[in-house]
Amino acid sequence: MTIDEFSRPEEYISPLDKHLGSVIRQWAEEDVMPYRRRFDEDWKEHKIIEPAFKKLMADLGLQMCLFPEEVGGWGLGHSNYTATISYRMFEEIGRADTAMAVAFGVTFWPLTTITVEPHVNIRLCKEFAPMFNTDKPCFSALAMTEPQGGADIENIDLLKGRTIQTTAVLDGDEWVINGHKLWPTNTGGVADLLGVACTTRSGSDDPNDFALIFVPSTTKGVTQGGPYEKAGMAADKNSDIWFEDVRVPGWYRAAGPGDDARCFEEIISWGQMGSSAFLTGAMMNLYEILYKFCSEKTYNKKPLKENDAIAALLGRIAGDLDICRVIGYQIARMIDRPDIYGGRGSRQVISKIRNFKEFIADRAVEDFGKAMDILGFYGADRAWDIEKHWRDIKIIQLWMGGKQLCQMEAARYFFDCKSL
Amino acid sequence: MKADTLFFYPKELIDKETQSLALSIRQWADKEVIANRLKFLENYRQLVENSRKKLAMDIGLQQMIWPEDYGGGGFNSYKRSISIVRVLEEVGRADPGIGFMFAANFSSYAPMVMEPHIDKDLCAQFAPMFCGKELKTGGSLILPGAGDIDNKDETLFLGRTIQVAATLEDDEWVINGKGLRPLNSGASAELFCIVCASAYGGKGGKKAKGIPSIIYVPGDSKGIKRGKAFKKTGLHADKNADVSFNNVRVPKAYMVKRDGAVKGVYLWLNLCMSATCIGSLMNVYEIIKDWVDVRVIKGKGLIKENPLDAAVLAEIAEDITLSRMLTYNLANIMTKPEVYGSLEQDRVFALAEMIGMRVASSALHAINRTMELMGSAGYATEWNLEKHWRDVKTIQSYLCGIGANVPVSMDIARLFFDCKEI
Repeated sequence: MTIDEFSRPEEYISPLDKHLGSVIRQWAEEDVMPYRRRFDEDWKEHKIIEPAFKKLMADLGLQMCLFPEEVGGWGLGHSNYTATISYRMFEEIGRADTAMAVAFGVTFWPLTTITVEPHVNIRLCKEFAPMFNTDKPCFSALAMTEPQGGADIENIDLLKGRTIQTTAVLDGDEWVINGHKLWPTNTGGVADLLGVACTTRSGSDDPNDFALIFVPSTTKGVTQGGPYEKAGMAADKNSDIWFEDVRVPGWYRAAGPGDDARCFEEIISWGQMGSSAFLTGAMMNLYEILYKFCSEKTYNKKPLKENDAIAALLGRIAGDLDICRVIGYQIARMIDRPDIYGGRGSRQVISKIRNFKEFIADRAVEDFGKAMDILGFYGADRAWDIEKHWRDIKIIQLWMGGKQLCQMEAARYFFDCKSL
Repeated sequence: MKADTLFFYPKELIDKETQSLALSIRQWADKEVIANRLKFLENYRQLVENSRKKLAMDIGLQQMIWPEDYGGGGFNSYKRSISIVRVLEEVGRADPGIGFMFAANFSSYAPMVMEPHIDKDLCAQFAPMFCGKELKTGGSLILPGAGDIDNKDETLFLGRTIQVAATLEDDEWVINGKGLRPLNSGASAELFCIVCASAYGGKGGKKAKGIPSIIYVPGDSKGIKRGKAFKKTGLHADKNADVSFNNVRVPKAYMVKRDGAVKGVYLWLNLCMSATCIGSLMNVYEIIKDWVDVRVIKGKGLIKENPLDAAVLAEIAEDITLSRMLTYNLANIMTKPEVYGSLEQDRVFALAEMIGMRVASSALHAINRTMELMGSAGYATEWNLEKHWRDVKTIQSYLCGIGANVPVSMDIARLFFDCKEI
């Protein structure tokens, strides 16, 4: 039994899956897994982490994959398999290190609003592609969260952007942005390009007033703080970002009034898809580690896996991965085929995808915790590689509004709740 | 209202001396640890050692459970079980890693210091090591755990593999065991408390089959090899490393062979670790209380006034309340062998295991729920919650030893259902 035999809906796997999956797996096994036990101490400098990013993003060229061919990209944004192949890539990276997977995935997150059909904004693609078409890793960040309110901005269905404090004011043909954001992945000095969630009218819940504006991080008035120290996810830097009278051209707005809000709703679906892929990738690695440990170590003179009670725990863990992987690829399919499942930003799709992600995250958190207990005295030992995943995947469960927001979205959709 | 008052515990069973000691530890915790947590982030090893020194030496926890006759604090009685819980709670509130070290130390000394089984020879030998004026790491426990698929000749303790053999040769025990994973402090312990398979008549370090026993081995004995301290999820106050014993010789008197002694170690370990987890939860409550008192969601209203979040808060409070009651109940049962029977009998052993597992599990559940409410602040180090999460998880896995909760489940099933083959 290999990790590739865990179920997924084979009939809609991307034609690129086999090739791209094996390239990334080789990268993960050669450039990440032998070094990942030292990542925690590298959280501030990224001296060990950086070369692996360079190989993945610049040398292998993956940072250009979403851009259209006409600006030098791979054109994945035109594909019917954009999400499905992204899922596979994120899963393979997540198997080695979920923080690297999120740093990689978030690079594409704001770019989905300008590179993926039907939202291709060729002018902005031409503007930003050269930044990524380079021999150095280039990252994006999506600046959403603000000091007060946490995930309120992601609760777009209910709050419709009215709590956003970051303002964008059109002054002639330039946006002037002011505000303070917290926690975006790939900040702390990493990101070269920022997608910033703003309001053009403070306190407004009119979708036309929601704006997603691209800001190169070197723009005057942008200040990124130092990275936060966290329980895990060392390869993903997060910090404060301040915007003080930051000026960018008016056409740096992703899609325009009303459409920005719709794109942002789709971003929620993309984010939950990525999160799910990071989780099932980590669970695949958990299976590999548990297989080895439970075959070699004994309880009551039998291999752990041959004890009925312990086997029941192992069976649950493997079963969860089998189920979660099917669900995860289903999320990707729903994003790829709005013609079948409805718009990526529709209530129906968002609420279902949030549900799926919550389920996968819950299973992952429980399974990794149980696995640490199966290893007992060795469960907390970094040398067995489970505890790092355990710290990292908890963070995935918590971000983007965490469990409670997923539950509320589901209740609103399935029970027509009006006041939640 | 303070956490102490909100979460019930049997105050009437706690004597004035213990309350006074608990107050001193509270003051130490607030001043030395909690007030300095941001500094701790920068230089944890040095600062935690300074703090532990004040607790161990100035307040006296290092010698606390050694008999007074040997220079100790005299908490070496089952009648002090509740006091020990109260003390470890306060330590765990400040830093579960420091609490874990004392909990493991106390459990490792228990077989020789605890009434009614005080071993005068062993106390005379080892008390000076820990009742002096120098800060010590303390005793390291090496418990049965995972076996190796290639080794068919293992001795078991209730299904768990005993990895250390002790063979009697010429009035000395010869100790052998390779690549052992201690529960705690393998890198620097001055004394090892080892669950071994003791046998008479073995020769030349040949692995002996025998009865599960406890043997004490001074850390500076010839033939001990310590590995490099390994990195782990939590409990960073403690430096652990694998240890090997190659024909280590100790006097015959260093072995504790009485029936029930090994179970006694597990009993104290579960009690002390539960107390440490409760302490951690007390601080978790303080952290989340501060958070929900000011945190606004949806652009209006405090988070605690949202029914969904309030329900999560209720779960947290319930976990803390019931865990605390269970832990003090176990301690209370331990103070009354005349009512509940010997501490080293199967019934109390199984109860301690049940409560240890339940409290660790509830504590982790409560912290996980707290993290959900705090979102990213839950995993950012500056909010001081994620350390409790890592520390308590590490305690939980260590209490399992091997195979998650299965060995404990088997112990419980054996007791209540007379299982013979599990």
